[in-house]
This record gives sequence, C-alpha cells and structure tokens, in this order.
Amino acid sequence: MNSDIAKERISYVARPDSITTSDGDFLTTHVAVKKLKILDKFDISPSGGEDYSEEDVFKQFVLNPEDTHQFIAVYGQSGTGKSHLIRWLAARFEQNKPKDEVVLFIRRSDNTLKGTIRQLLDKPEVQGINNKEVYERLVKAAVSVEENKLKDLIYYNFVIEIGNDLDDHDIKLGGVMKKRLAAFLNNEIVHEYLMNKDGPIERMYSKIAEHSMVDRDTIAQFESEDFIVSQDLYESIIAAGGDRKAEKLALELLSDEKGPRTAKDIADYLNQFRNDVIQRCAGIEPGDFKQIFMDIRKELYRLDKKLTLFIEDVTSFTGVDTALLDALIEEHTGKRDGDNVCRISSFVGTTNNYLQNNFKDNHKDRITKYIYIPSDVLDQHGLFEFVAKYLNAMSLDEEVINDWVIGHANPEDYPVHDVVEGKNWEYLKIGHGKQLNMYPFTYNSILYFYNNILEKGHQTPRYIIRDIIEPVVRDALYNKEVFPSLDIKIINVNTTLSYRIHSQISDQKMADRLLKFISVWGDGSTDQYEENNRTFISGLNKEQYNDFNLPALKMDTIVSPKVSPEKPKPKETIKPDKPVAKPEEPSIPSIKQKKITDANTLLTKWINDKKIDISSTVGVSGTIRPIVVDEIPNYLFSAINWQAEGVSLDNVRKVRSSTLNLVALEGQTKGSGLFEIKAEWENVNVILAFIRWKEYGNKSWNYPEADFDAFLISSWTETIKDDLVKKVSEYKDGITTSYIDAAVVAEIYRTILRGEYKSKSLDAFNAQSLLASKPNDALTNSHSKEWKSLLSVMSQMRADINNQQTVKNYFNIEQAGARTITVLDTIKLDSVLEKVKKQRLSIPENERQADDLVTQRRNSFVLLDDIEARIDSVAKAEQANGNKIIEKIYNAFGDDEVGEDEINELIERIRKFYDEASKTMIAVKETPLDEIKDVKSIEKAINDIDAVKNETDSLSIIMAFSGDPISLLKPLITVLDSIEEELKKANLQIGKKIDSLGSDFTDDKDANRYASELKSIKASKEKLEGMVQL
Amino acid sequence: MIFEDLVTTTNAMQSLQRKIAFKENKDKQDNTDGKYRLLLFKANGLVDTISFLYSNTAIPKDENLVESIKSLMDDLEKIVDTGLASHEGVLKAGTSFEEINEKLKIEWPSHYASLTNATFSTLEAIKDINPKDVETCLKKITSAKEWDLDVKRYERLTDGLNEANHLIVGLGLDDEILSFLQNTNSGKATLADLNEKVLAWIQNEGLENRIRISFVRTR
Repeated sequence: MNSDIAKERISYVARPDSITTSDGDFLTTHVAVKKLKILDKFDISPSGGEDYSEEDVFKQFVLNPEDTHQFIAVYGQSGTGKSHLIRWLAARFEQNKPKDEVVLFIRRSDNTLKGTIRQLLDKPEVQGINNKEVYERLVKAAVSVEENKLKDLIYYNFVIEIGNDLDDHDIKLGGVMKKRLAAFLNNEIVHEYLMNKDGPIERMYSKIAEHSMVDRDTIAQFESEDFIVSQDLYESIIAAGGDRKAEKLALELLSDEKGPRTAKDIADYLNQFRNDVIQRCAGIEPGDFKQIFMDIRKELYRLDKKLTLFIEDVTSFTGVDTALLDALIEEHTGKRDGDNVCRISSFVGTTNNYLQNNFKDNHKDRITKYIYIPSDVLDQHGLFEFVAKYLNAMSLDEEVINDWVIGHANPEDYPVHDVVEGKNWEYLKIGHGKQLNMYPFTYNSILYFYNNILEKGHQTPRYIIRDIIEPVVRDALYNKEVFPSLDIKIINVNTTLSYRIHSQISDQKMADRLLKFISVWGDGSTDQYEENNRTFISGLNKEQYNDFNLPALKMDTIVSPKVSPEKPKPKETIKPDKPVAKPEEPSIPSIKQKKITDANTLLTKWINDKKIDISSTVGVSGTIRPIVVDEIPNYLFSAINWQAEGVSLDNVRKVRSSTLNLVALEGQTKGSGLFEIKAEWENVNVILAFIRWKEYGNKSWNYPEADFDAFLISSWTETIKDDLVKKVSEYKDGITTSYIDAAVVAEIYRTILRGEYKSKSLDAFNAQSLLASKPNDALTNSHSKEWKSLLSVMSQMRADINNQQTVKNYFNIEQAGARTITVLDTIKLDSVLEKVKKQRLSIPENERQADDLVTQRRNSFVLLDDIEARIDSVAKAEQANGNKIIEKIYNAFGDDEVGEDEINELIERIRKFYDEASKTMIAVKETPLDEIKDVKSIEKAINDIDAVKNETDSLSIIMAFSGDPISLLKPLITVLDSIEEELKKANLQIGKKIDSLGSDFTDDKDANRYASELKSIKASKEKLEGMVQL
Repeated sequence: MIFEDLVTTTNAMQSLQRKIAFKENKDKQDNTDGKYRLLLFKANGLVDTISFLYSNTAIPKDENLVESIKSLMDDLEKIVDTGLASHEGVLKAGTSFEEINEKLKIEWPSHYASLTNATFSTLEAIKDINPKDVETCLKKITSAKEWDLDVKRYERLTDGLNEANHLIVGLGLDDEILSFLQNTNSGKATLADLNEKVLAWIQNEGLENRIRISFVRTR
C-alpha cells in the first residue's frame, strides 16, 4: 500500500456503487465474473446448470449477432454486482458496437423519476424528438413542495384513491372495508404511524423528492407489516378516540388470526394506486413516461438507428415501471399509433424480489432471457483478487490508471503500485507475472470478514467494499496506532490465547487489540514456529506485528507447518462460503461456537464502553443473560461454603430467591445485583468459560479445554469470595444484615399475640419458646378487635409463617453433604435472644433495614413495622376491655380482692339461691356453674388483668393478656350477668307473693311472735349461767 | 352487689316459704306453737326447780345436767329463729327435755332419802312426844317424795325439814339419845347403843315395850 496516495484515493475507489466510479477505477478493480446462469424462465434461486462468464454473455446477447428484439433481465441479490456487470457490458459494447447502434446506459445515481427522464433526454441521439421542450420543462420544474407537505400529499392521495375507487383494479375491497380503510388512514394516530421514518410514505417520498437519499434495495410500496397493529398502537387509537370504523379495522388488524391476512389485503390493494399516486405527486401525469420513451424510439427509427439499452436498476423506475416495461417489450415489428419505432435490445438490472413481485406475468413472459448472478459470484481466489485490486487501485495515481485505460486496458499492462507499507505482508499472484500486495489484509482476515462479519445475503461485492475493504483500509490509514480499532466480533475466541495475552500485557487496550489482531488477521492459535529464519507467531510474522506496533509475544513453539501463511494456496485449501478462520472442534456445532463468538464480541465491547445491555432474552444478550442471572449465581451459591464463611444458610437462601440478582455486570443497562462484575478481561474470560460450560458441555466440563475453564472459574471464585460473602452478609455497604433480630422480635410478638407464650415476663422466653412453641389450638378468643386485626395483618401473605420459618431456619447449621441433618447454632441463637430481650423487643432506629433490597430479608422488618405500628393501640384496647371486666367482677363482689374463697362462696350462694328459688316456686333461669368451677384459673385471670390495669408499657400489657384472661373470665361474667338479672326477677316475684299473702304476714308481726318465749329462755339461760358460777 | 344480694334474696325466699306454709297450715302451726310453749314452760320449770334445789338443799351440783339444760335452752331458742316454730324442732327439743327429766326422776328418790331420812327417823321416834307437830312436818316433807317440776313442793320440803329440826331441838334430847333414836329408825341400833343414859331416858319416857330387839341377819 502507498498510504499517501491511498488517503486521497480511497473515497473515489472504494465506492460500493460501481457506476459512480471513474472508468479507470472501474476497470482497475474489475474482476471477471464466471459463475453466471442464463435462464429462459424466471427462477428466484437457480442451482445447477452451466456457468457462463461475462464474456459469454457479451458475445451471445450484447453483440446480438441476429439483430433481434431482446429484453434481458439481469438479476441477483442486492449487491451481487448487477450494476457492475451491466456497466462492464455497456463499456465493452461502446468499444465494439456497430455504427447504427445507439447505446443508452441509464444510471441510477440520479435516482428519482425526474432524474431518470432527464438522463434519457440528455442523450445526443434524442435531441430532435417531438415535444422535447415540453418534456424538459416538465423535468426541470423544481418540486418546491416542503418535505412534510409532499409526504402528506402522497398519503392523502391514497385516501383519495380509495374514495374514488371504481373497482376497476384487479384487487378489490368491499364497500365496508373501503370505508373502514379510509377512516383508518384518516385517523390521526395511524397517519402519524405510517408517516414515520421507516414507514411506507417515507419510502415513496424518496422516489419522488429531488434530493433525498435512496436505499437502493427499497421498493416504494406498502408492505403487510405496515398495517400490522400492535397493542400499543391500538390502545393509542382508542385513547385518541375517533371514527368507530377506524377502530374496528384497527381491532381486526390487531387480531393474531385475521390481522396478517387483512394487512396483506390492504397493502396489495393500496399498491395498485401506487404508480398513479407517485406520478401525480411527482408532477408527472400517468402516461407521460411511456409517451417520452416511445417518442425516443420513434426518433431513432427516423434516424435509422437501433437502440441497445442498459438500465442499471429498474427499481429506480418505481412509479413508472409498468410504463417503462410496456415500452421496452414493444417490438419494432409492430405499429404504434401508426408510427414505426426502432429495434430495442435492453438489459435491465433488477433484484430477485422486484422481479418476482413487481413484474407482471405478461412482462415476465416477454423477457427474452434471464441472467442470474449468484450471491457467491466470486470464488475464493476471486475474492482475494477483488480485494487486492481495490487495494491496488487505491495506491495508484489516477494518471497511471488513465494511461492504462487509454492504452486499451490490456491485462498484461495492468498497473501495480509501489509498495510502501506492508512489504512483509502477503502478495497475490494475478497472472502475467504480476502480484498484488494485500496490506492491510491477510488472507485469513479477508476470509474472516467474508465469512463472519458479512451478514448472510451480503457476501456480495458491494458489501465487500462497504463493510470490509473501505473500513479496514481507513482504519489502517488513519488509526494505525490503534489498529485494528474496528469493532469486530471475535468468533470462537481461543481462551488460552486470551489468557496468555491478558496475563502478559497489563495495558488492557493493547491486549484487546492484540487478541483481535491475532484472532482475525492471524490464525488465532498460540503456536509459534520458525521458517526461513523468520518467526511466525499465531500465523503472523513478526514484521506484521511491528507494522502496527503490536508486541510479538512468546507462544508455544511447534514445528513449522508445510504451508505457511506466506505461501497460501487459497484455491486449494479454503472455500469462501465456509468458516475458515480457525479449524472447528469437531464435537462442537458451529452454532454454539457462534454464540461464544457473539458473546465475546459484546463482552469485549463492554470492556471498552463500560456498559452492556443484556436485557433481551434472545440473540447474544440471550446467551449472556442466563449466565449472569442464573448460572454464575447458581455456581457461586453452591461453590462457596457459606456456613464456613459465617453466613447463615437462611440468609443465603433469601438472597438466592431474591429478585435482586447475586451478580450483575458493570454498567448493565437494566437490572442490578449484589455483586458487580467489573468490565475487565479476566471477568470476560470467566463469563465466556461459563458460557462454554453451558453451551459446549451442556452444563458439564465435558468439552475440549474444559479443564482450563474450570481452573479459570475456580480461581476467580477465590478472588471474589470475600467480597461476595461480604455483599451477601451486608444490608448496605459496611452494615451487616440484621434481619434475624427483626425476625426474632416479630416472632416473639407472634407467640405472645397467639397465646403461645403466656408468661408475664420476657425472662422466661428461651430457645424452646422461640423454636418449639406449641400452637394455640383455641378456636375462639376474647381479644379486642385491634388484637385480632393485628394478627390478621400479620398473617397476610403468610408473613407470620414465613417469618417463623426464617427464625427456625436461620440458626440451623447443616451438616456437610446432608441437608437433613442439622444442628442448632445455640450460641448465636442465645446471643440474638438475649439482645432482643435486653432491648425489650425494640430495634434501634439505626439498626432497622426496612429498605433492604433482598425482599425476604426486608419482610421481617416490614412485619415488625406492621406489629409495632399497631401494638400500642392493641395494648390500650385490650387493657380497656380487661379493666371493664374486672371492674364488673369487683362491683359484683363489692370488693377489689376477689380470690378463690370469694368465688367458691359465690358459687355456694348461687346454689342456695337456686335451691330456695325452687322451693319458693320463684321462676329463675339457672346458669350452669360448671364453667366457673376452675376457680384457681379465674383468680389468676383476675390477677393478671389487675396487675396491668394501670400499666403504660404496651409489651407488659400484651404479655398479661397473652393467655386471653378475658376468655377465662367470660363464664364468670356470664354467671354474674345472669344472676343479677335473676335476682331482680326473683325479688319482683317475692314482692308479689308477699303482697298476695295479705297483711297478717308482715315481717313486723312475725318479729314479736315468740317475744315472751325468747324472753323466758333468756331468763332461764341467765339462771343456768348462775348455776355454773356457783 | 350481687354477692350480698344473693344472701338477702335467699333469706327473703326462705321467709316467704314459711309465710306461705304458715298461711296454708295455720292450725298446725298453732299446735306446734302450743307444744313449744308447753315444752318451754316445762323447761323453765326444770331450770327453776334445779336452781331452787341447788340453792336451798344439799343436793350435789351435776355440771353435765346443767350443760344439757343449757343446750336444751339453745335449741328452744333456735326453734323460733326463722320466725315460726318448727314442728320438728319442737319434737326434737321435747325428746331432749324428757331425757333430762327422766334422768332426774330416777335420781330423785336417792336425793330425797339423803335429804330426809335422818329427820324422818327422829320424827318417828318423837312422834308420840308431839304427835301433831310431827305429823305436820312429815306431811310437808313427804309432799316432795315423788319427782315433780313444781318448785313449791320442794319449798314445802325444805320448810318441813326446817320445822322438824326446830321440833327436835325443842325436845332437848341428848346427842346419845338422838343417835339411839336415829339408829333405831334406820334399823341399825344395837344393844351397844343402850347405855345408861339411854336406858334411863327410855324408862323415863315409858318406851320399854315399844322397842323390840332382834338379831342381825348375816349374808
């Protein structure tokens, strides 16, 4: 390469559009095509049959030895070299054409309707045609309409066409559907959607506007996809409101079932109006183009000329294509409007799709021959020659080339540039004793780019220029210090190589550059050998490294291979349509290798950008994401002995089941993790090792070089272990997670509130109370609604049960290898218990971690918060209820000391009351007294409540009420209530009965009935006393 | 205050029961009352009698007896506690009374003999000396020979004994003569009692043919 010249020339030479290059550059870079197919009938992808060279085509058809009407379609995938071939045929024909032949070569560089017509009118042979002035005025009239206005014009012209459709086209829509479609297109949201940058209107606009950039592969028409309505779009349409007809069609298009069919019908229907609309919007009336073309042919006939027409790309005629094809298929033997037209031999370039979809059957039937250019039109040597000739053309002065062209461009005179850079690089022999320097390419690199970088369908000359030659040469010219700086996917990266490089070179960028250089330009191996006193490292000689200031590392010395990179036999060894950069491991499918390669590319980019998007579950993100989200965490969780590191397995499980990932990549655009894997090469290697373990080994180490991956991963684990353990143990940086404190406190509260722990002091609360408390089986209780409500809140989403499980699991120490055998970490348990008891179940504010990112740890704090938020009101309500009860009891006994004796006496009195009532025939309802025979429990319940009747500490209160003393007192209250009621009733009845007895039986009279007798008794008793004293 | 109300109401019901019962069987109650009063009258008489005897005679005090009578009096008091004397209570107390009274009836002859024998013998001995006064004394003394709850009988007994003593003392008899007379009346006098002073007094009073001698029977 001669960089001084190349820097000036690259822009001119490396043009993907062959038509825009000069004739000299065109010929200097021309590589003969030898794999053409000639067909009678259209076949979108013909295989087999004879191969023809471009020379064969020229002789058989372009020279047209029988002087017949011809209409020949040259087709192939975009970029396969149709234009190049047509240009070559045209150029060749210019030099060999008969005198009466007019050659018209229509380029697509001025790729609009008017531009195309202008090219036709510029030809000297047609200067005398009829109406020329009119035509020129037509094409010169600038379209001064603003872009948005013009697009709207196109858009609404379609709506107008629908409204005025007289059903005279092939594809018809029903009346209802037409109305719906018109309403749909008139909808503001739909209008905005179809007018977007990638929409159909933009595509059509580009064919009309004078200065728009046109993608050559674009066909200006509606596609089914344009009318597929997404859920979002549908909702927007509905939200915006409007015509119901539009909404109905939108709903139909949203449907998975009917949507695609309807969308296709609409696209096909609208495309029928496309030509009329485009022409109208371009300021050309339908029929203009055909008229112009026929006028040209008439003029040539008048001049006794024949026309050979080369049209580089018929797609540029979108809008008038039907008219053009009509004009081209019109044979000269016929009459047209009474005038004779000249013979025409036309070669029309078109893409497969366009030919298949846009040529009507009657046009296809009248095509004389089809010339098909396959995608892999270049063989391996052809590929190398193609690249080498472009490299050569860039390093040659334009004058040198022009001299060669003027001298009839003989192959034996083909100019070769003087090599300035890359003298020690490979040379390609091109015959006639000439060889071309390949710098800055190696054969390996060309094949690598061709096979791995070019997308499927893009392995064509246009993309070889655009995506390989031009960027690599620019990189070598302008970024030599950091060459290769291009973002290149490294396919099937050699881990050992990567490890070697990164462990020997501390400069990260340098290491990455070298890895890329060896992997793409070299053979990607770690082999080193001597040959002819020259050292080859990884398939590249030392000078090649030096040319880009790359270090030549020490690798594994091997015996020199028979075929060195300096002496390639590309034709015999490598096919361009197969991966050749490195030999494949036979046991690993290429699709899996590609996954590694893609992952490596993205991860390498990650190192540079410090950010990465692995949110998608497909593609390369879909390869890396599960490794980061699942495999690495799974491995780390199982590989680290957490217990030995002092981390409770309960905590580990909580972190593991958290939505928060254990690890995340530095700069990960979505999601986060406890531990951040830095964007460093060591980590890339580890991630790749994990991917290989998964992809190559199907989650095993059974694949080539797995031992090295295993070593990488286990070493890495050791290096991050301490940090990782810290992260799992910590709630935030530097703050150890203390969820177990909250969990234990919440559990203690639960056992109290559930009546499992009934002691009135925390002193007796021990491990057994915490871990083996027996469930309170009581089906009912007499707690306050606040108490019950709190229990209900606690049990929401099984929060209490989960928390209890946390407490039960946290202190378990699982025996190695046997999950079923666990021992209790009593030291830790006692420590936590003592702590929370000492703090009287209060967690200091600075130890609260209610915003812990690990949900299951946070849940204990959330539960405790719920409890604490309500516990005071629970205590107050319970205390109020209790006080009410014991006040009632005290009032019933007329004393605030009610014990066993008093209750027994009460029972006795009640029984007596019932007995006497029965004897007296007083109707009272007897309340069973069995319920209150456990007087000791009743006495205790009264004492429990009494003990806290003036208490202000909520914890003391709820502990007092834990055993539900109110329930124990309820029967007593029931009895008291009943007795109170029955006493009232009894006294009423007694009063009535006494009244009914009459006045003779009043108490006053009774009192004196035995007065004298008693008096005499008293006297006798005194006498007797006197006797005793005698 | 339910605790106290229960007692009050229960009592009220009991009272009511009695009133109802009383109303329903007034004659029966009157009968019971009569018996009660009669029993009480007897009991009071018993107390008066015992009280008189213990106070005015040399009968030894029986504490058990006094306790039994006290208990009886307690029972009699309780019987009317509820406002109406209960039939059963009266019967039960009546039995208690009879037991005490029967016991006293059995014991009384013994007490009576010890109280009156010496006086009786002397009076018999001197009957011919002052037959009228002796007869009066003997009548009074023998009026209490049988156990009865009429305290007046026992007052006459004590009066008779006092009068007899006055009568004997009034005769001026020597102690040896009185001893002989008393032993003779009790069948215990022997020839050894016949000293000169006694023989002189017999002869002086012309009592030789009225005194008979016999042998002491041995078992």
